[in-house]
Amino acid sequence: MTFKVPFRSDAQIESAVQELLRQYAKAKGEPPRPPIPVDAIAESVLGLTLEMGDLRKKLGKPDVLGATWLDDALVVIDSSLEGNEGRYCFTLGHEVGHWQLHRPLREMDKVTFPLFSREPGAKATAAIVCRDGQRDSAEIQADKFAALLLMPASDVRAAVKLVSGEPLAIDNFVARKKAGERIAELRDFAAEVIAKGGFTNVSNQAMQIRLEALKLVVDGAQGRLF
Amino acid sequence: MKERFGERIRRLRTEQKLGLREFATKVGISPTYLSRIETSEEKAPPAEDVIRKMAAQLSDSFDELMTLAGRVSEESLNVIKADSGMPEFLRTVGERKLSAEDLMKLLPNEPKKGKR
Repeated sequence: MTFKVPFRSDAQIESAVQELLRQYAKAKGEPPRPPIPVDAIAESVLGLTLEMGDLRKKLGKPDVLGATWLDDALVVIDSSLEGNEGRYCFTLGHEVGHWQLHRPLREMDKVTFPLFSREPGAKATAAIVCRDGQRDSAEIQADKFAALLLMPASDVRAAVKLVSGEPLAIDNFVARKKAGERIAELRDFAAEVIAKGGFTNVSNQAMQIRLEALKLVVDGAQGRLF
Repeated sequence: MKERFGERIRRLRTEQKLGLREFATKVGISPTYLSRIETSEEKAPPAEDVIRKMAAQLSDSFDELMTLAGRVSEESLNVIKADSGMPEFLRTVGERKLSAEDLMKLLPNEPKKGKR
C-alpha cells in the first residue's frame, strides 16, 4: 500500500540531510565523517527506537526491508539484512528519510498513512512499510535521502580527489549503461572511492549511483573536457 | 508492574546511549536476538555468560538480571548440589516466606561483599 507525498526537489532533500548532519554535529560535538554513523543518528540524535526482526513473517510480505511506525517512533529493519552492512545502513538511512521527510506531513494532517500491526493480532497504527523495488515518489525521496546521508557530496568529492583527482571518463558510458552492461571500470572506481573515503557502510552499487549523480562519472567524450 | 528483563535491558541501554547493534556486538549476540530479548519475543532466557556481559556493559547487578531472566547461576546451583540438606532448607525458606535479607541477618557480622 502506498501513500502520496508532495514533490520535493533534490535541493530540498539535500537541505533536510544537511540539517540532520548539523543536529548530529551539535549533539556529538563534531560533524560525522564516513562511515556516517546512521545507527547513532537514528537512535541518539532522533531518539528513534530501533529493532531488527522478521518483518517478512510478521507482515506477511516476502520483500519487506524496513518499516517505521510513526506514533511509536519505532524503526524495524528486517533480519535478512543482518550482516549486510551496505544494505542495512541504506535501509536504515531510508527509514530515517521517511521519518524526517514524511512524518511532518502526518502531523500537519496532509497525508494519511496506511495502518499496519507490528505483530499479528496487535492494533494497527500508521506505518510506512518499505519493500524491495518500490518506486513511488515517497520511496524515491527516502532513497535519495539515504544516499545523500551516507555519501555526503563533499566527502565523495574529496575521496575522488584522492583516487584520481578528476571524474572518471568511460567510453560510451551512456550507451553501455543503457544496454544494461555492468561496467567494470565504474565498479573498480567506486571500490577505490569507498576505500579511500572510508565509506565502509556503503555498497559498491550505491556508490556507483552516487558518483553518477554527482557527475563524477562521465561519458568519455565529456570526460576529456576536464 | 514489575519491569521485565528485556524492558530493563532496553531502558538501561538507551539511558546509556548504547545503540542496538553496538550493544549486541559488545555482548556477543546478534542484533535480531537482542531485539527479541528486549521485546520479550524470545521466551527462553539468555545464557548466563550473556547476562554476565550485559550486566558488565550496563553496570547493573548480575544477580538481579539473572533473577529477572528467571535463571539460576551455575555458581548457585553448585552450592545447592554440594549439600544434600540444601533443597530442604530452601523449601523451608520458601514455605516460611523468608527473604534473602531475613536470612542474611542471621549470619554473623562480616564485612559486606556488596552486590555483584
